[in-house]
This record gives sequence, C-alpha cells and structure tokens, in this order.
Amino acid sequence: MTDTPLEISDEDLGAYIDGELDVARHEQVAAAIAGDAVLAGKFANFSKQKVDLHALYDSYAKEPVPARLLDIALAAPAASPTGGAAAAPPSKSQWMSLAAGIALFVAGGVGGWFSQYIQAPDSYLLEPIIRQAVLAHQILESEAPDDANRLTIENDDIVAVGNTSVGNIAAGFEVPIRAPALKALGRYTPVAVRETSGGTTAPTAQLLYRDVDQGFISLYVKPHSTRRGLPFDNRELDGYNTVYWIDGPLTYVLVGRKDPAQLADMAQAIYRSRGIGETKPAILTTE
Amino acid sequence: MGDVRAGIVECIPHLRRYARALTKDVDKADDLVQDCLTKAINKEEKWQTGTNLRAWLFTILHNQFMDDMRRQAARPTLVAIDDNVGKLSNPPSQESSVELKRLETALHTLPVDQRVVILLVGLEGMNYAEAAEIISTPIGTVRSRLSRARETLRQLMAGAELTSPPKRRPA
Repeated sequence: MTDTPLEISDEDLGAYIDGELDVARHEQVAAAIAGDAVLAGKFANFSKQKVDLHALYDSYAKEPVPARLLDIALAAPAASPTGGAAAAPPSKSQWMSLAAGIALFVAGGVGGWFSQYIQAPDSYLLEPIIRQAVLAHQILESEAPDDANRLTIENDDIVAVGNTSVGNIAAGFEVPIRAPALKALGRYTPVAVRETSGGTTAPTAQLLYRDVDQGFISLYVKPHSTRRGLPFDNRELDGYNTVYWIDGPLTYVLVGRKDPAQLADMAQAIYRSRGIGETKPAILTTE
Repeated sequence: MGDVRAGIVECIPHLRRYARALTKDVDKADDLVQDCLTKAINKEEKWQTGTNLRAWLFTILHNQFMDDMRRQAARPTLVAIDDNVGKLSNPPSQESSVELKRLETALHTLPVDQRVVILLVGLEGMNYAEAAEIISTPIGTVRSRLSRARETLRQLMAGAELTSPPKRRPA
C-alpha cells in the first residue's frame, strides 16, 4: 500500500455526492475529504447546491397540477400516431368512441362490478372533471328550460331535443340519446341535454333533471381511458353537492343542491338502470 | 394502459418542476409539459411495460425543450441585454431568498447541456445512467458536464465575475 494521497477530481467528488461510486472508491473519497480542508469545502459547496436546487424548485412539484395538464393525461388515447390528437377538440370520431364505449359497457353487464374494480384512482385525478361538471351544471341550470335544449320525453325515451327529433339527434350528438331510467324514484324528469366540451379534450354529455321541488340535478358523463373503477364518492364544491363514480369506460358526476344522500340514491338508480336483465341502455347508445 | 396513465399523472409534478427550472418561466414550463404529455399520450401504444416510464417522459420533455431551443435560435428576435449580466459579481447576501435567486440566475448562465444534467441529477434525483439515456449521451459525458456545471456554479456563487453566454442579437 502507499501513503501517497489519491488524486480526487471534481468528477469524483460529484460522483461521491451522487452515490455513483463503487464502495472502494467511495471510501477513498470519503477519507480524502476528511483529510483535506479544501476538498471538504468544495464537497460542502457541491452538496449545498443540491439542497438549494430543491429549496428553489420543490414548491412547483407540490402545487396542484393544472387542469389542462391532467385533462391531457387522462384524455382518450390518440386515434392516430401522427400526433396532436390528444389535444384536439372533441370530434365526431370521439363521439363514436363514446358510443362504442357505452355499447361495450352495456354488453359487459354489471355483474359484480363493485367487487372487481381493480384500483381506484386517487380522487384528485377527478378534481378537474368534478369542477367541469359543476360549471356545466351552473350553465345549464341557468339556461333551462330553454327552447333549444327542452326535451320531449315519452316513456323515459328522449324523443326530441328542442325542435329536433331523436332521428336527427346525430346532428348534435352523433348518437341517439336516452335518459337513465329513474322511474323508480318517481320524482325526476329529464328536462335538458347537451354536449359539453368545457375546454376539455374529450366529449361529454350532460343531462339535466328537474325534481318535484323544481330543483335541478345534472348528470355529467365523460369517457376516460384509465379503465379503473371507482365506487360512489361524494364531495361538496362551490355550494353544490356531487356524487361521482367510474364505471367501465365512463366517469359519472351528479351535481345538485340536494342532500348527498338523495344524490346517492339517484346515483344508485342510474347505476342500476343499465342493470342486469334490462334491455335499455342507460345514457347513450348506438342501438 | 391504466397503469401507464396513473404513472404519467404521478410524474406531472416532477415534469413541471424540471420544466420550471429549465425555462425559468411558469407559463413556458407548463406549455412544455403540455407538449410533452400530448406526445406521450399519442405514443402511448409504444410504451413498453417494465421500462422506465419516468425516463421516457423526461426524454420526451427534453427533446421537446431542445427542439424549442433550436426553433428559437433559428428565429432570432430582439432580446434586451440581460438584466442579470454582472449581478453575480455582487457579494452573496445573508438572506437565503436572495442567495437562491442568485443560484437561479447562475443556473441560467450555464450552457444548456450543463444546466440539463445538473437539474436531472441534482434536482430530479436521476442516476447517471438515467440522465445519459434521457439526453442520449454517454455516462462519461454526464459526469464531465456535471462536474463543469458544479464548479461554474461554485465560482459564480462565490462572487466570480459572470461570463454570461453571448446574447443573440438580430442580424
């Protein structure tokens, strides 16, 4: 062995700080730092740079993620590998994807969905969707009933929106529309429906109901691609109560000023309305 | 596919932090992350399960950033003489916020290839192999760029005269 001091380069010192040295070299550098004040000063300085970088920028990693970024991350997969699709506005093909998703949802039935959901996404992932639902509810609530979106209902089927018959609904929605069967609750009448984009990257459907007390409740439906189930959950936002859940390829948000328990009853009814043995699909269908 | 999306969402705060440190501008940083996410979602089918999702996303972001830099360089615009020039020759303040501000200014005087590696390793905690993969360069180059970056920052923070990279002026 030799007593000659080992040459410790700045690269060595950096690699020591970054944990990139093997054990033998790590010990050599540690010993050199212990015995060399200049090297120790540089080591302290380099180490402090790391600490200061975190002090400078860590707050950005702790901020809530902007909705526009979450929207992209949760958007439906691109239809084309050529790029740009994830940021594109809702298109006819996306509406058809929505219809296809719902068709799949209906064909799959409901058997044991609640018992087999894989892993619920963190609820914060749904934050922008819930906000959009509340905003859309406020807008539609202020507009309804209005001639353009007034519904004509026959036996739970929406036969017309405004002056447009269901046969021509494709012009606005691309797919025929039916209201969830809420007869069992005996108090909710669908009064309006519309497509809402809300600046998001995926199409959404919104159905407004009026209950016997003349209060409004809206059902906001948006496709997603995570395919992870989420049982019913609720939260209050901007004075509105919401109940939301993910079932198959769709995220549902019920919004209203009703008691959360009442909204939960309605959510259950909607969930069951496309249930086992029923031939009618729930929200939208390609029939 | 759902796991990929969850992984992407999990990485967004880190992408934002890195982009903010790279660009020194919150809006530009979020635009950069938005472009990165759009590309990632559009390439989602190419994602190989079991590979390093974080490195994949940072690679996309890095490439986008470099493309943006090249485009900007190809379209020179009138740029005011940098207010930061010479500021680092002032002695360090005892106030940590001022000290951190000086560090940020110093960081942005580094050549971009050095800034990138010190942020990937020093801020994002990447190991050298990950950083090398992200910027498509040998590990040895990562080591040497890191070393130069650290030494330059040390000197600047100690009050050495700032030698700012030349500012692009219109022809």
